[in-house]
Amino acid sequence: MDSKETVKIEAPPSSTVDDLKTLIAQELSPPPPPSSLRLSLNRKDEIGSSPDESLSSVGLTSGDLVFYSVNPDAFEHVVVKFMVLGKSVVVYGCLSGKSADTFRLSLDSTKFIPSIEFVKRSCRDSHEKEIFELWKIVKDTLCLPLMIDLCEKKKLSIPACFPFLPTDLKIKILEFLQGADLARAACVSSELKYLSATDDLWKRRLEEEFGLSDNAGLTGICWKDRFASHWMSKKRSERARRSLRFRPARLAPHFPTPFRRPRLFHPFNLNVVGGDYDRFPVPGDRFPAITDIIRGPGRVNFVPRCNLGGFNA
Amino acid sequence: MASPSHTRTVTLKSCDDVEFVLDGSVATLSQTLVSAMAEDSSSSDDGTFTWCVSNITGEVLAKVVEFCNKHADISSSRGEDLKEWDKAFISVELDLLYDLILAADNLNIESLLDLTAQRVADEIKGKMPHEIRMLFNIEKDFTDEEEREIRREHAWAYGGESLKSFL
Repeated sequence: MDSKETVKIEAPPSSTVDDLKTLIAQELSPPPPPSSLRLSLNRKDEIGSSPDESLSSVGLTSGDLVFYSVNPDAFEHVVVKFMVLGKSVVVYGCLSGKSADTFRLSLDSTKFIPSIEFVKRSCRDSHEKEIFELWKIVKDTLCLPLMIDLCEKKKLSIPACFPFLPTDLKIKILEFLQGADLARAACVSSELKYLSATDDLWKRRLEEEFGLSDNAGLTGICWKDRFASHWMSKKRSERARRSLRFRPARLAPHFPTPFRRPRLFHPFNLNVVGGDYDRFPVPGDRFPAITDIIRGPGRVNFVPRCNLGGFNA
Repeated sequence: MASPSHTRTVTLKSCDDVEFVLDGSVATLSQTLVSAMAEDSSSSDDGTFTWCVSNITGEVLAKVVEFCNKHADISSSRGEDLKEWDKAFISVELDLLYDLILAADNLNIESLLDLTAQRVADEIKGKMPHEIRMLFNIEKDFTDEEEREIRREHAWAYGGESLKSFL
């Protein structure tokens, strides 16, 4: 129940949060035990998780309006505690309240601190892997379980939905997507954008969709960009092939005689006999370029169009 | 001394106390059960092993057990038939699908994990970002500038279709 009643309290500047609670409790009738009072400045976040904190250290100043409640769950919050044990940083997280589960994760500080330092100095490239690992550990072992606990405590049904899947599973799902679908998934949210940008994923896409295997000589290239350029050139050639297909038949007479049949891709293939052209085929203005012969009227070998799951642009 | 895992009987218990009895050979599909059985030194002489899965409900576990029974039965499950069976098996609503993928992950059943992940991927297939967000309950967390950038970067995947209407 909400009361609009306002109680004016005067507290000495040196008082702690506990002192303030005692003062408030005295003003109320019947007076509740001071420890059962919950205080908040914004009705959402409880102030003074440790009772010995002074009022100024929790941000309370003279004239502030403080909301109080005797409901222990009035201002739900999550307590996160850090502990350094040698090289490990142990993080505990639990919801406020007595019977809450505590989740724990242990991080190797020697592994992650250099990366965090690097990010601070915004040199992101070299430590991306470690940062991602850190993010994944924190999200999957601490944030997600806490979120589920919070839902349970507030009697909300735990949403069985994609954002709640562990990161490993999301990556696994992305592995099953074709390149164009993967690119569209990247436009969904920053998390998916990040997860779908790994080189391993795109390397595999290039292998499966274009038959290009990992080339050891290629370093420092973005595999996603490489996939995109292959994708676009494939679309371009598909477009070119389609426009040829609709060329009127009478403009493309078909001569089945073996003489006229260009033997494609043979270096001495030009329709010129004698002279240096036999020996040194130099494509020039007078002769059709190799590509013209390949695409020449009636000479197009159509490769069956296969649907790789993309859009026919 | 624990008996070899394939000769034992395994009892799986869901978080809502529904029990399923599996043949040891069926249980070996789950790597989690295999390692749990290997570590279990308190094996009773009758060769039974009980495993409680704290976060899987009976409804979901029933599906998992159905899958394992089918896939462990080599005589009936071959090639195309099995594919058809899998397809029918995985035609479930999305929330059960998420529960299944989590259960497959928890029990570490590779074939079920592949099947469920493929099914989720199929849901994404051919959809536009705003449709994926709707279906999966994902919030768009890009700033306007990031959105413009990402549109430009992935324009190739949209073919000739107008980007504006899809983001």
